Amino acid sequence: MPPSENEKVILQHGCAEAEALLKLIAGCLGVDLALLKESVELSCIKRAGFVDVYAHTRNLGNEAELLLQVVGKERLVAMGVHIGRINGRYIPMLGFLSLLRRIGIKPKRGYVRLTEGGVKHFLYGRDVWGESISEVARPTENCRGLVAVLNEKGEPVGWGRLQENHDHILVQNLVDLGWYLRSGV
Amino acid sequence: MYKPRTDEGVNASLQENFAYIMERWKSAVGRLQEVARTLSVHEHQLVRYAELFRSTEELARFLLVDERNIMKTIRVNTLLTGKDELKLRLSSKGVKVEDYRYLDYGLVVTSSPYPIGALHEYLLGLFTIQGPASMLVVPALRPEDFPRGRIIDMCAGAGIKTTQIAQHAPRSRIVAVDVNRRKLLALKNNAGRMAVFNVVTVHTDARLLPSFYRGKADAVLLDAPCSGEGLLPFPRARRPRTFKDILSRVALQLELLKAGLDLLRDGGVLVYATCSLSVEENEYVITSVLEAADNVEIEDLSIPGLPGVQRYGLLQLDPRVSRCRRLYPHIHGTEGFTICRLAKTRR
Repeated sequence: MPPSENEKVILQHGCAEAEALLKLIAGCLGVDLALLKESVELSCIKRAGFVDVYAHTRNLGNEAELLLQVVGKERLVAMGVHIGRINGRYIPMLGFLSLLRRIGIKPKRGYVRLTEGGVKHFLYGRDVWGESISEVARPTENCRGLVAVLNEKGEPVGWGRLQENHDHILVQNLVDLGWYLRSGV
Repeated sequence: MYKPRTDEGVNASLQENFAYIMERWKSAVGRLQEVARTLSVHEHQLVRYAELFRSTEELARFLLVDERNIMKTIRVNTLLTGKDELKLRLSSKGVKVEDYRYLDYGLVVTSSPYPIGALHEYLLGLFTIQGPASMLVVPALRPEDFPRGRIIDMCAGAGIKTTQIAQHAPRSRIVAVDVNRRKLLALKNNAGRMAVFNVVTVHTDARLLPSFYRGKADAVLLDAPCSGEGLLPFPRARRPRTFKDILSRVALQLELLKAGLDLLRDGGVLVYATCSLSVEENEYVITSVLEAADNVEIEDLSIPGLPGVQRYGLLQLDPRVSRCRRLYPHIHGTEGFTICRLAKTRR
């Protein structure tokens, strides 16, 4: 959610929080952090209780900074793609998956691959389990079960949390691409 | 420097022209009144379009086009996929598509077992849904001529054309602006879905931008708020428009176009487009600007469409407006659109 117009907003390029989020999520997925960092610049929009992290092309940060000095930072809706939010926890957004697709990199770990039927369920906002999951590549322990959810072609369709016990695997739906339809905007 | 006409001047010349048109066509369009009522078309629209076509037969053909006659088109997101790859994926799901003859990364959907907007390929950002005429507006701007330039989308709305600009110039700096915050949230979602990383989105009135960006933009897209009369084939967009409705749009369009030209650097280009076929909202607006500015030229366009209208009722419009392009539902199979490309000449 973008800041409302009467809220105090701080825009910061190359903020430490954004770097930390990128590093954590890249680590969970086993993707090349250096490649991500050379592809985009990061900015934070800070407001009470939240930091929203955006990835954008290199020259966009200064453009936004200059423009917002005139129109007011509260007028900023987005810059580039919203890739994550920090509110005490690091929360990856759908935009992070767009970043992976745009650069053309696929997770090496921290993903589950679903069957066609599993993808349909997942894109309706549902959790998936059992035979709907065709492959599991576990994330590192500090990721607390965070996984990219992939379709049969290996394209990311959302984020999930892997929950396992000795005879049971469940992928809890955190956010999926169907949200673009369900959000109503 | 642009010197705007006064509102009174705009209103007087257009009102005088409308009175003339009304007098000239009122009885001739009488037989179309029943059709017009069914289609929620106001008598004022009937006479204005009779004057445009100068034929009640063509007016009838125009009125009777329905949405089934308009191509259903999608735009391939070339940032994420290729046209042939997308065609294969859609084909495997039983969605039949053909190449769109006017744009090499457009496709015409001829049949689909599913709603197009619910396909996974849509959610993955591999395409977006865009009207066949609407998707010709950005090619008219040629953003690729400004690969690292500043491009301003003045009335960006949900960002369908903004994301198309990014396809043409993925390293440019796109500033997308709109007065409607909710639409900008849709733009944010569209940019995320389609992996567009070079747009800064700001909620403000584009008319305020020259206070900061005067003379600093390489290219400007003004997809102006309009009467929407070009969408007449679509039942959802049908509502009667009086001449007064048109006048209120013209006043806003003149202000926005003036601001847009102020944003351009010398040598910069602006595309003015509306989803309207109204001469008042298009060639008249452009002529008004040309009369008041000595450093603006209309450029030729390499997109399809009929030439802009030079004579309309009593109005003698600038002959250069013939370089604009008009797309008609009953001729081109698209929604109605008018597109003009203006360049700020070097002094």
